[in-house]
Amino acid sequence: MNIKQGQALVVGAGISGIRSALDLAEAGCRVTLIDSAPHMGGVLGKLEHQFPTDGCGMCRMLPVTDRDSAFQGCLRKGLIHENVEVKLATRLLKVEGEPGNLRATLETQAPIVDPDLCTGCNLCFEVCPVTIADPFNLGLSRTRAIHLPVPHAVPNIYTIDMDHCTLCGECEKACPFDAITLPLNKKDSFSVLVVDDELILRESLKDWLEFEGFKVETAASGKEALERLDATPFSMVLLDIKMPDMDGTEVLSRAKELFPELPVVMMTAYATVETAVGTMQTGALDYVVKPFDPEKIISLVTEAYLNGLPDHRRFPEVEVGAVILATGVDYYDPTTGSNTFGYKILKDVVTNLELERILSQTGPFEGELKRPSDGRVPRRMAWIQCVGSRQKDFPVCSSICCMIALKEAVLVRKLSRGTIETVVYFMDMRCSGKEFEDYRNRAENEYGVILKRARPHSVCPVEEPDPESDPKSGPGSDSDSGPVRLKLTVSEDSGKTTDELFDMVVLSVGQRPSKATADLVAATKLSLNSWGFLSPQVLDDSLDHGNKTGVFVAGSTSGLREIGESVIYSSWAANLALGAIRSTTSTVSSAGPDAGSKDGNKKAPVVFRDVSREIPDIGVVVCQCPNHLDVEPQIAALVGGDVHVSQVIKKERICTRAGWDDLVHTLEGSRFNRLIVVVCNPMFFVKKKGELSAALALDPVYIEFVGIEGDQPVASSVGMGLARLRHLARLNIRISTMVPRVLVVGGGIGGMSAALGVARAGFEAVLVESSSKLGGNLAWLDKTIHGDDFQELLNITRDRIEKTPGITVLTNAVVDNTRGGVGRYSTVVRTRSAESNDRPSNSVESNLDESNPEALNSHDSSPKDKKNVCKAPDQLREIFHGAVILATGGEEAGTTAYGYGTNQAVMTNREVEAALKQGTLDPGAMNAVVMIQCVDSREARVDARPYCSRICCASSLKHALELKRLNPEIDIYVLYREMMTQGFTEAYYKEARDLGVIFIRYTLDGKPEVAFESDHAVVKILDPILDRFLEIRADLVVLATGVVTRQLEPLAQIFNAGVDQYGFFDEADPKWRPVDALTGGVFACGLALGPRNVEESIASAGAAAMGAVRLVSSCQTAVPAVTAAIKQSLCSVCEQCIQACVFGARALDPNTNRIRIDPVLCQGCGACASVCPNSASFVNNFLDQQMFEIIDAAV
Amino acid sequence: MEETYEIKGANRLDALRTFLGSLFETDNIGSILVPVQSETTHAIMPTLVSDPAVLAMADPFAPCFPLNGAKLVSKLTKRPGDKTMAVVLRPCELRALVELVKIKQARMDHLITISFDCPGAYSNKDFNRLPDRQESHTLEFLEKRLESGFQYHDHVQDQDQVQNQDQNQDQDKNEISLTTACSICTSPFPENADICITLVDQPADTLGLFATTDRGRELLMGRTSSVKPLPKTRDESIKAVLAQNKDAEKKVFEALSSKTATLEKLGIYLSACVNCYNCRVACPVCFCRECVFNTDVFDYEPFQYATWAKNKGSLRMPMDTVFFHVTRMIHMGLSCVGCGQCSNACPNDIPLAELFVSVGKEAQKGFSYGAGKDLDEPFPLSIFFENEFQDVTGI
Repeated sequence: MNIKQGQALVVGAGISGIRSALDLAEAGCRVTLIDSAPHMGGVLGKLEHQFPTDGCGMCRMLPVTDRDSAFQGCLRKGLIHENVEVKLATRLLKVEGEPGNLRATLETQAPIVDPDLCTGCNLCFEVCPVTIADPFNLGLSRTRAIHLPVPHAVPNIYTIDMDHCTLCGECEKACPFDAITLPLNKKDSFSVLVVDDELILRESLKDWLEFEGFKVETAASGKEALERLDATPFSMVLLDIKMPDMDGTEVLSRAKELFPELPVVMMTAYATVETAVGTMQTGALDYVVKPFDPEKIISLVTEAYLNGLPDHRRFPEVEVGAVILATGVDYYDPTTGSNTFGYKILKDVVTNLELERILSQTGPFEGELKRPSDGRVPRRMAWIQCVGSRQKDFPVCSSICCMIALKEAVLVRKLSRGTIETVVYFMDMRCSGKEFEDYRNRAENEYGVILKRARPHSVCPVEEPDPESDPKSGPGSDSDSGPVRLKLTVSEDSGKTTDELFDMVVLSVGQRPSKATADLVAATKLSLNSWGFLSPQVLDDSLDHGNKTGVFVAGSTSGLREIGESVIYSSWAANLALGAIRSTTSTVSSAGPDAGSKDGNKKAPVVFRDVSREIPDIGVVVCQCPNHLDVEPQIAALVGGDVHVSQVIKKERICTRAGWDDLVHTLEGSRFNRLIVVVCNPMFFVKKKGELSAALALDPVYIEFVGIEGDQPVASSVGMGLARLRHLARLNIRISTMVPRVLVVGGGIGGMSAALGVARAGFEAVLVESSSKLGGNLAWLDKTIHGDDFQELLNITRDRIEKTPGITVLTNAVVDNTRGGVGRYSTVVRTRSAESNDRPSNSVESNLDESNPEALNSHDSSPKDKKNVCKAPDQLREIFHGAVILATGGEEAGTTAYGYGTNQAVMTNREVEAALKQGTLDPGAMNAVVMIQCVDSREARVDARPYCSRICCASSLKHALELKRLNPEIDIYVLYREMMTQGFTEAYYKEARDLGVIFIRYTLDGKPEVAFESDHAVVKILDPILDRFLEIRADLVVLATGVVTRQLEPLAQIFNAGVDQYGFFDEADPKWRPVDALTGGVFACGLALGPRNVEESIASAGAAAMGAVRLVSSCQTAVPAVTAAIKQSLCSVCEQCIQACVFGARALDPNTNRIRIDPVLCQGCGACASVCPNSASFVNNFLDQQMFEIIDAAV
Repeated sequence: MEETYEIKGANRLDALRTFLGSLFETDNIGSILVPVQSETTHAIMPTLVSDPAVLAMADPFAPCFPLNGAKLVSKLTKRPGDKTMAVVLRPCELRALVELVKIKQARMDHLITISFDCPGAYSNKDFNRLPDRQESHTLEFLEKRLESGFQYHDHVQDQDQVQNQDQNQDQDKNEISLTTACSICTSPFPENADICITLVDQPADTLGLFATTDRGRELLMGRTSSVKPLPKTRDESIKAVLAQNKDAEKKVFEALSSKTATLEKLGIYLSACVNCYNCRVACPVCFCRECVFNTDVFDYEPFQYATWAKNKGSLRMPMDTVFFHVTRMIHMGLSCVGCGQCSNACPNDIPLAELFVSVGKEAQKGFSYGAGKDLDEPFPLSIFFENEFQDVTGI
């Protein structure tokens, strides 16, 4: 009855939204995924290469257990999952209600091209007379007003750019399927009032808009404007702000009094932007900054016009348990600033995103690197970092541009085989995170990317003949003058400016709050941080601050982050959302959340016939259209002699709704056990396969769509399809029940958050901590750099652990060993004798048998004090669980550098934090403090760590600010190699400099030297700006030594997971599967995963919990059709398949001496089958015989 | 230099038998697998000996190599046991055994491997034609081989003779050649046996013994033999043999590549094949319980043959001949130890050994892998390097 049960709304269908949607869908929720764009994929749909692999890999986010629930194809084509409903060109308007019980109002436009009717035949595109800049290629190529929004989407539906469409109607006439319904052209009755005191502006706006077909009148003053509005109703007003007689803002408020619904767009000069922003609150629709692009105005007017049309907009409502916002960020537009780099003026100055399109196979030059201006191959390229970031008025680092620039430069070096010189101009190369520093080193040393620490201030075109190129070989008539090169004026450390010539300049543009953010704030009542971004829920959730809205923020919406972190934040949001949804659903049974919620609001599930052992009885459907008249006779001839084919059905245009419905109707109740459908484009039908499957009561595995387009002869395409189909079988095996309990090892903030995340989703968690108390590093931490209290966080979290049903805590306990595998681990936990326990131990769990699942379940009903704290004398207990989360954390690395340990004046960051917290440090008595960053870090030495520990720069800044606050007179010197202050931490870097903290950069060749004189230290360092050695007499030297893991490796080995070269957890994929091991069942979070701060640790814990929940939710699902199997009678037990399986899905059963396959872990990759010489190992539905027959049909 | 022990006897065979007999005095060794001449049939076959008296007929040096003993060791050791067994294997047999251990078809944990300077062998056909197969023949053969400096030049006079053994035999009925595999063998000396027996440059009544493993050293220590360094000339002699065989190998491979360069030529080369799969049965590293060519993978529907015949105009039967051999090269090439049993087993005298050895060596070179060289060297297909063979993969 309760239709909202298990429903979630995800706003934004980029990778963050996709991740959140998949998380919830896999956990059994119905998800509505919306995006304001007409396509999915967000920014990443446009990117083909991601660091550190320089490839893609987005598909690794697809489900790994219930794989058949989603279309197993390229995710850049789109997400197709049985639990996810996708609505494109849709926005979120309003959310009302309580968490778990929300009503969301959406806004969507009446589709001009009907997605049910459009077949992607391209006839409309051919007749469209309007060419526009292709938005997918960021304007680097041209397309038509009616076009495909993404070249590779599935299914691919045309869309019309209504800003440019002239409503000529050609496409409507050309469409053979009546899929296009253009709005009536009533532009001449849409009257626009242009109000400006400048004649020239009034007149040109009038001309532009009248050219577009609108009716335009003008007013030269505010007073006149109000008179005209009074006299005749207008559809829209374009209003200047600064006018002599009456200010635009006043006109606006008066006009709004008269006509509250009147759309008004403010026009302003650069100086009054803030006023313009203010007018938005008094009802202005938008504002434009003069001088503006006519296109911009036309698009605003067109939008207002379309919105005013009756039936143009629709407002569907959905009832959901939670909402996730994943709308991402916008990118800085260099033209909005002083634009000294000449962006949009010089064609060869492009943004980093534009370069990604240029490098793309579907880009403007089909993957060839050329200059947009003249198509020449550049010989020198420059990247300028921090464009729009780390500025005075926006002291925020965009976090990811350094890596993007390095990756792009590496790609260019690879693509050009080292012939194009690449120079990256940067302030700090921010490569924090475990693999980042290594990538930077490879970029420099292996690929020859040149990094220059300098700030270019402008780019100018230079028309000098290029001495190295032969002008005659240049293209076209320009050949007599050389190509225009770009002169970069660079100021160096010394203050000297130099000029350098390049052929292309790439601007690493930074983040800005997404335009959609303002709408989302209006819709959801969430608040923004001081830089205009939504905050991640760490405060709301973990500190119980803000309001409980049931709305969660995912991915980059709370600030740019690299893919791996975005994915983590999205899974975290999904975990919180799941908590909100489950909190209102019925009580959770011991078998985990009831499986009913998965199908709860679907139609009665179709029961498929079991035809796996039947002799093939194949139906052949041939789609017939004027383009393929000769196909049917050819197929009839081909299948004539095939004993397995019982009928050939000819259908007209099944790509249309009518044709399709006719086919479904015809097939209803047919007894075929295999079906082959011959069509133009099989990808078009991926989403619709389920309807045929239902009509025939046949598992979709047995339905094959075969394409006849391309050079392939019809007979071989269909023959291959038939050969494949004859051997298809869906074995009726189901994945066995998973133990609905998750073991969490490590009771720091990561482990505690993970346990809460598991419990929130309705599963049990057992939290194992080796010490006597929960808390980990939080015990000694004081405050975050933002000033939030860690102790409060610790107390709240501990309290929640106490109060949350379903969490069992074992302190003084360590994992001893484990048996079983994914879904059914049996782990022995050794609880050490607890002589130091301050509480009397409970004797309840002294017996091993009581730790079995039933016994643990029974704890739920036992009194809380017994349930939550189990302390008992030395004992072993066996815990059954389906997944494990490793949260063993990390600690500050030790050091002997800079006299640490020999003199009390040298302390580590951790010691300073603790001393500040306890008040044992007296800043008042200090004159100078030196902080040395990167101690034993980012170095290739054996006794150093090659990675950046990511958190030390922020810690040092935090301490510097605190010391300055306690004693403003204190001199603080931070000796650094790179200040790694990503994101909003950058603001504190600026604050510290404003407060007089002195930052001195050093290199590995010139490390600081520390000597001691009586009670103070003397630090000697070369200041690169002054180019002189400084000697600083310091009362205190603080070392930032970085982070290492604790106790991880042996534990990872026990659970058959690995650690990476740095000793951190080896994740399956740093971008797309950042918290789970390749071998399944094992997740990690917090510092065990890699260096990260407390907020990031909490996020990763949520993601790990979500991963474990996804896994244990998938019990009783069918084994995917493509899964490896083994013919025991042929197997020689050579064990090569075990070694070949990267997923750890194979093992030798020592009792039977046979190979066993775990169908949960098996991903059907086929490595085992290819290593097996006699096909004892094989992959279902990819059989040898089948392949031979397919090849035979093909050749 | 390894410590070498010396065993004396009436002759080389006697010395060997004495040594093998002494192994039974060790607590743990319960049996020895060694070629023994049957008193009734006179055939020399690997025999699992537990009664020391039977060793009187042991004859591993005879130019008789009926089958590769590694497969037999696999049968004997596939499951874990606790009784130690000694096995006397030619170097190529030992290499095959190492490969089988890597693919879990045999175990070495209770095995003492003994190998020796291999004087080579005749083909089964040639050996079985010999009128006299007594002990004296073996000693005579050994003497001749050692006299000639353990070189093969007597037998490998020029390329034609290597290529055409029949002609060679026609010309000189009394002179039987070693098999091609033996003539082009580039590792006929024991390398990784627990105990290595040397013949080269040893006097006619002695054998040298040295160990290459701790297990072997332990066994040799306290034997009743004297410690004596290897003859100084041994290294030189070995080098000369290897150079000679390498040279022969080069000639054989050159001739082979002109005969098998294209798929069509390969078809002609293999045209006498009747798909009896004897080569596969004889191959020591073909370890499948059932060959894929015997399974239903190639069980075509009867109408299929008619369709193919119709499409192509004709259909050679049996089918899949070249496919079978190519598949075997792919499956076994990396493990090919060059023992030559495939040629030995072929009823139609197809010179398979040189084909497999040449393909195998190339494949092994590609992965810097030596079949049977080192138990700890992982099998190339079981390990993965992302940046391997970029010229082939194009990545």
